[in-house]
Amino acid sequence: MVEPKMGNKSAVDNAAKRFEKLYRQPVSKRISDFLKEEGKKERKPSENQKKKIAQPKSSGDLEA
Amino acid sequence: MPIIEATNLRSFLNEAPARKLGGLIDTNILFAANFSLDHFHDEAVEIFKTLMAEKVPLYANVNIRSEFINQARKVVIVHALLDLFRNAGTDLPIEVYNKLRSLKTRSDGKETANLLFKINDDEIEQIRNLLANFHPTPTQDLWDWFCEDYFKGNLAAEWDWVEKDFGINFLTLRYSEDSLHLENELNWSDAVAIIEKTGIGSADAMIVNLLIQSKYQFIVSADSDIAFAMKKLSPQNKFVVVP
Repeated sequence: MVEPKMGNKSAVDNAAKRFEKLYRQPVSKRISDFLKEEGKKERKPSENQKKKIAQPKSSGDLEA
Repeated sequence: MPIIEATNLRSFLNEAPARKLGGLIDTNILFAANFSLDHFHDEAVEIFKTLMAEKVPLYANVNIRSEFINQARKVVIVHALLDLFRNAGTDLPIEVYNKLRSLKTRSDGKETANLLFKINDDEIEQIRNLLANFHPTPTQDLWDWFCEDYFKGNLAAEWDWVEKDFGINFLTLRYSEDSLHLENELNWSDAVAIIEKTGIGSADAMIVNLLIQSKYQFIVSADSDIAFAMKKLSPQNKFVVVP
């Protein structure tokens, strides 16, 4: 018969510190950088948008 | 009454030698011992120390393991998102910013009240859908990256550590393999009968059924459903130790 394993008191004292390493990981740089870039795109009007702002549609366009 | 206060754990164990043969340990106690912000952290650590001092082997089943990993997953998601918000702030796309700002506000409120901030699966799905709208590569969306960066290899390793540090013996639920630990074979019909009598969830019913059919006399749990079911069923020589 295999003996059941037993825990280790000092490991129990340190378990919370170990678990912290799991949930307090450094921020993912690639995700953070990617989202910042997406945010910039959202705030910066594209060249097309700039043209549309600079050249309002003609009345002909509106009728069409 | 089958409910034992954890402060009486040592005397409970010493009242009958059979109680030291082993016991089940529920997710919430395991999780609390690992997570310093948990309401029951100090009590859970003391419970483990008492059980270890009394040389009581501890057992868990698949429901306990999967719920532990599920709780760890939620903690990782919340912390990662809050860190992302602190790091990128107003540089984030507006819909991501709004979602994370709402998380941060609620998290701060809980922190002020000294309560643990948790999010539910519906909210995780909302966040997943939000991140999946972004495609950093043609084959991966941002949720894929999130899982890769924060979870990959970590959750399984965490459970392995917990098994080792806390001396958790995993029961497979197959009678042929676990007959040393079981008085009777585990049947789904018995678990369903517990649900039908008490109305508790199926995962909890399977844990209660395991306790009833096992050779062990107690489970340590902070789950009110487990305590409720044990009070209702009052099986002979079976107890719930509560913090």
